[in-house]
Amino acid sequence: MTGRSADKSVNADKGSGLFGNRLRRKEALTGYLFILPALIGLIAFFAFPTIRAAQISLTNWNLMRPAHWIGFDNYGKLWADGKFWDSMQITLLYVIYNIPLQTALGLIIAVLADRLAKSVLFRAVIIAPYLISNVVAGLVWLLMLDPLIGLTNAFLTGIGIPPQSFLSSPDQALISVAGISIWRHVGFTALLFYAGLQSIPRDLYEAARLDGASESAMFRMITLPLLRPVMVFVLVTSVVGSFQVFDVIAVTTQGGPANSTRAVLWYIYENAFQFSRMGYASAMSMVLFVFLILVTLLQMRLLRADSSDLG
Amino acid sequence: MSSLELKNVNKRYGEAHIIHDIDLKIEAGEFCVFVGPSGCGKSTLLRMIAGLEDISSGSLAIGGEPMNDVDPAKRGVAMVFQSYALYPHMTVRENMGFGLRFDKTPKEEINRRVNEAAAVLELDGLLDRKPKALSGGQRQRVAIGRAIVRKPNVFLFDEPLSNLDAELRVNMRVEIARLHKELGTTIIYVTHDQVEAMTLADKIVVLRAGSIEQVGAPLTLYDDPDNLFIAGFIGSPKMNFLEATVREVTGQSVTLQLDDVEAAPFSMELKGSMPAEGDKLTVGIRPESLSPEGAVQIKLTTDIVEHLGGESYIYARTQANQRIVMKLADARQFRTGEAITAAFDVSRAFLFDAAGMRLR
Repeated sequence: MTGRSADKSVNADKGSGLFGNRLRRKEALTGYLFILPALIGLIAFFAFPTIRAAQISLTNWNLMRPAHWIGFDNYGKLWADGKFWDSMQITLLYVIYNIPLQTALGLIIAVLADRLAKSVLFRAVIIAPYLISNVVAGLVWLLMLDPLIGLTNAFLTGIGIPPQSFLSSPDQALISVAGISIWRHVGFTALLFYAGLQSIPRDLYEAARLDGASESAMFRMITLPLLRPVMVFVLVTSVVGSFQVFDVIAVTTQGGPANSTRAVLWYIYENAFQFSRMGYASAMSMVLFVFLILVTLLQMRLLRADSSDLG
Repeated sequence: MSSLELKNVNKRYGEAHIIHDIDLKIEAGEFCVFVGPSGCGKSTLLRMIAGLEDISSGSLAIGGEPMNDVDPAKRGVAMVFQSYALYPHMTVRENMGFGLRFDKTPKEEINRRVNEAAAVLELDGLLDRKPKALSGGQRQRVAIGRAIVRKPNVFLFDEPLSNLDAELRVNMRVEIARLHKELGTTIIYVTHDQVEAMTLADKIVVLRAGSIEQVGAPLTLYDDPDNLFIAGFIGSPKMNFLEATVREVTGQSVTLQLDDVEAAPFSMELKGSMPAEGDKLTVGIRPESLSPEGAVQIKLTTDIVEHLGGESYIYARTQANQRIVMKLADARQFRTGEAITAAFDVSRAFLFDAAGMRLR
């Protein structure tokens, strides 16, 4: 540190400090210009709405009358709202259906693609569902899973399994929604893992083969640990994304049947746009926001997100 | 410690024929170096011995046992990779003990063997570090340690020193020679660096384009090369080659005239087959066989003179602009751009026919 400040004073003595500072300021300005577009987007679509929602959550705004400051009343109400906690529970269940299966399937597909089919076509097919929107995926599967005219039941009957109700049964609806989401996202997850696999040097596997490791031992002891950074990214983004499940529910079940798919975002949406309780809906959004930050921090901590063993 | 034998070994990738009919016997405890230019197949051959590449045809035996279809881990070989291939998420101790975990070696035994190898390689203080926290030389030693711990019958080294800086390379070279002496294990060592080959090997195998050019002790290859390729490949700076024409053949004596160079004709005695009058031959002379005085003299102009202190290299040209290198113990009097005379004794010259084969 002392060396650094000494350098500075030497520069100032020579009179180059002024010039240096101006140059540095100019460089900084250029830097800010480069991040400006992203910064505008971030402020307009993330920072501002977040602050605004926090503000609204402290009011009783209902779109009709001007908002009145009511302090933390909404949060008190939320604490006592069984439906809110019920929707959190449904969301959690959805995450549990969704994440392990999606991650495991993605990993299996990635390893298979890496080991067997290094073809671009295979990867293109795998990623295809990700390229259509959630709404379209939801609509397609709404038809496919239709108990009477859907292809899925036709297929199941064909192989001797009795037809299922899927989205129209309270017991199967949430699992079906999770299935649709897995179908749409697994290719992207696989692609991320596939990219991660490419960064693992091949000679590690050769060394392990000479060391006598079996395929499964190599997977457990080399592939998995070295995929950790990708795993962190996949888990954090997919867990946060799953907690925010909305559009598939909106086009398939609309929270039903019998509220069995009323996930927290759907409940927030109902409150905001069906019952016009903007203040209350914002309060729930804030709780979800803080909760997801905590979940993310916890995940990153547990998975040591800040360190990679590779290079 | 095991012997190793390759019989009529070939490697093909589809149409491409990479390794051609390799026949080679390596004695138990021998230090054998595969050397050759890039793409000559030396690494492929090593990987075939390790079991990382299939053998397309021919047979491999280690310690007399056929090994073609044996799993790499069960061949009794351990390999040190060019990139070291250390497991980045494991500590040095875990890296070194990794292979032992799979043959159900008890934990105490693994620890004992790792500690033993660490002591030999002076890695004692580094056992709990990860590879990222090690220098290049230390990583190299861990890679060797991982091989030692498994007590293999044959060590395989794939260009192990090529990622190290010059000074470390010399140190590790000495280290590997010392290890071979201590462990007495058979070693097969791949390199493109002929200094490593000359200094380490009991036996050098020179490969070119997937075929063995010559097998022999380092000095045998140096003193008695079979062909033009070996003569040019072994030795640094390279052997000088001059074109010559056969003027006269009498009995076992052949009289040659150097082409493009102002020099008197000279005669050489041969034991084997004789060339015919008018044949174009190549005369090879090592840089250290050239000196200012000797039987056959050629006129040169110096380009560059390099003084290394104990020795000097004189890079010169013939009138036909062909480069000739001379190595002298003392050349302080030579200057750049000077006309000089280089001479050699006929007994120190090598003769090659038009096909590049040695005439002895």
